[in-house]
Amino acid sequence: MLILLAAALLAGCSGYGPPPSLKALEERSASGDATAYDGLVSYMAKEKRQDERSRAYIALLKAGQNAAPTILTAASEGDPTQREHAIALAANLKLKGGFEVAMKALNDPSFPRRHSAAWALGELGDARAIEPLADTVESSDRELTAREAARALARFGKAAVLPLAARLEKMPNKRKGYALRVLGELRDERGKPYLIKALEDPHTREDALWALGTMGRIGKPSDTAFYLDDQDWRVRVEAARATGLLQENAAKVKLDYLRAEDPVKAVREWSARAMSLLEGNPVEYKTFSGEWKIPDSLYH
Amino acid sequence: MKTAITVLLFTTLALSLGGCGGSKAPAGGPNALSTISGVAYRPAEAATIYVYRVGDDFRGPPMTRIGPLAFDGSFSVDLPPGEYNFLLRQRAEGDDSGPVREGDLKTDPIKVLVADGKPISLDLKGFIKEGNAKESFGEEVKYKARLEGRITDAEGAPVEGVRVHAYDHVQMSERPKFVSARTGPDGRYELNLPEGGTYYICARDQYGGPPKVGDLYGRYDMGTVEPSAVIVEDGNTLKDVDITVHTVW
Repeated sequence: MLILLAAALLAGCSGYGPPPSLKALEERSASGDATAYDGLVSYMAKEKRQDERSRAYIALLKAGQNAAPTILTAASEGDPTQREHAIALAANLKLKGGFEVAMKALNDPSFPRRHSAAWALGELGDARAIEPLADTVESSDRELTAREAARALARFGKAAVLPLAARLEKMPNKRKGYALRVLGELRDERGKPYLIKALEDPHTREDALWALGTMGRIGKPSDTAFYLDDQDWRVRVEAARATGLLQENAAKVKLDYLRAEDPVKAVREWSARAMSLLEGNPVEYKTFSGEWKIPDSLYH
Repeated sequence: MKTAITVLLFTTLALSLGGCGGSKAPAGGPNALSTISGVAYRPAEAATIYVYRVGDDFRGPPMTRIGPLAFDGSFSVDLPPGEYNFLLRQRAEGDDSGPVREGDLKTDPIKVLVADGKPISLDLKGFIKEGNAKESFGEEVKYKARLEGRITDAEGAPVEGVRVHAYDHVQMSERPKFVSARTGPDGRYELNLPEGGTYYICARDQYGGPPKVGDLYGRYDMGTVEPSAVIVEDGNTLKDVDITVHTVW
């Protein structure tokens, strides 16, 4: 009888009862009770409600380094939603071992939320991630993962330029577009020849012009004004934006014409914006009803 | 003995269930504060009162909000001297933000002048909004452009219950210029625009303020740090402007 009683007492205090509530786990975690961490991780799983997952996530974020072993284990395997949250925790907490679990996740084709791993690698900033991230931009089977990898590379600065540029040739056009735009955001002269070359291809011209404008006046000048005459109105928009950002005063005459006469309103608006940048004053465009109007300010 | 063991087992069960298992703002405060109290009638249980400074845009975030109100609609708030607008809102869908639509409970703005330390009694009478005459996107607006697409999660499944927000500036801060209806089970959205132009768009399940941890959020983007623009021409519908949302970490 006493044995039964002892067993009952043990059962009561060793987790054989109903699972603890999220609130109880939050309180235990806040008081430094490490036995709460596994329970909190289970609340980040797919079957839980979104608000429960977020509460568990925040509780573990507050637990910080103390919860590292639990977080890293969850980031390595299991329910994809739970794993995604654990990877994000590892990155936000800059956990030692975070790079390894994020790399494992990025290379795990069975993990459908690999974009979180790409994002985490950008946050962690370990340069060993640059080549794998560039590979991901080139060949990931998911657009979201490829875009997140491209954005992560932008966080590595100049070290990402050549690995990204080296893969341009093999990339499909859409991925090439992501890569070109990131090269623009990296603002490194070594990326410029790749952007200028991409102007030759009608499929990548729009992206290349966006990137050249974003890169700014670095390295050899590029003749972005030439593309103000392009047949594709989206290319003309980006050409107008670039001429303004690059202070290409030689484009003024053409921009002045486009802001009144281009058959596409967006080109007129962007031509006026570009002229504003060149002249330092607001410049109007002509609407199709013949009125003159200052375009919306996109940066306010 | 049997009775004693039964009691002990019960105690053990109670321990395993339980053992192993607010504060209110001070009422007074500085003398400069005035207490505004009253009842929101209908009564407006679970409604929210939004307090704006005079001059604030009612479509943006309020200075403070009171509620959801208790069953009797009573409320109380301490405010420094100044001019305020009080609005009561209760959205049928249960949201605490977003446009007020037909069927929602609301009041018109009630201007309140708060002087130094003097309490104010203020009762609010809500009414059910009928028709969309005041909606910025009412039927009287002629749309010139439209965006269409699908909102999916990271695994490609359609996401229900999010709205697409369109901004006219690249920072995508403050309030959006245009907002779609919530997506249905197929994740599809349509965003009618009064004119074509350059927009920056995102999809999210909350309205107003920067996205917070736990929100569903996703931008239309081309893999860049800076948001990517969507350009749509007058008279056109831009299709397949798809956005992936994920939980904000």
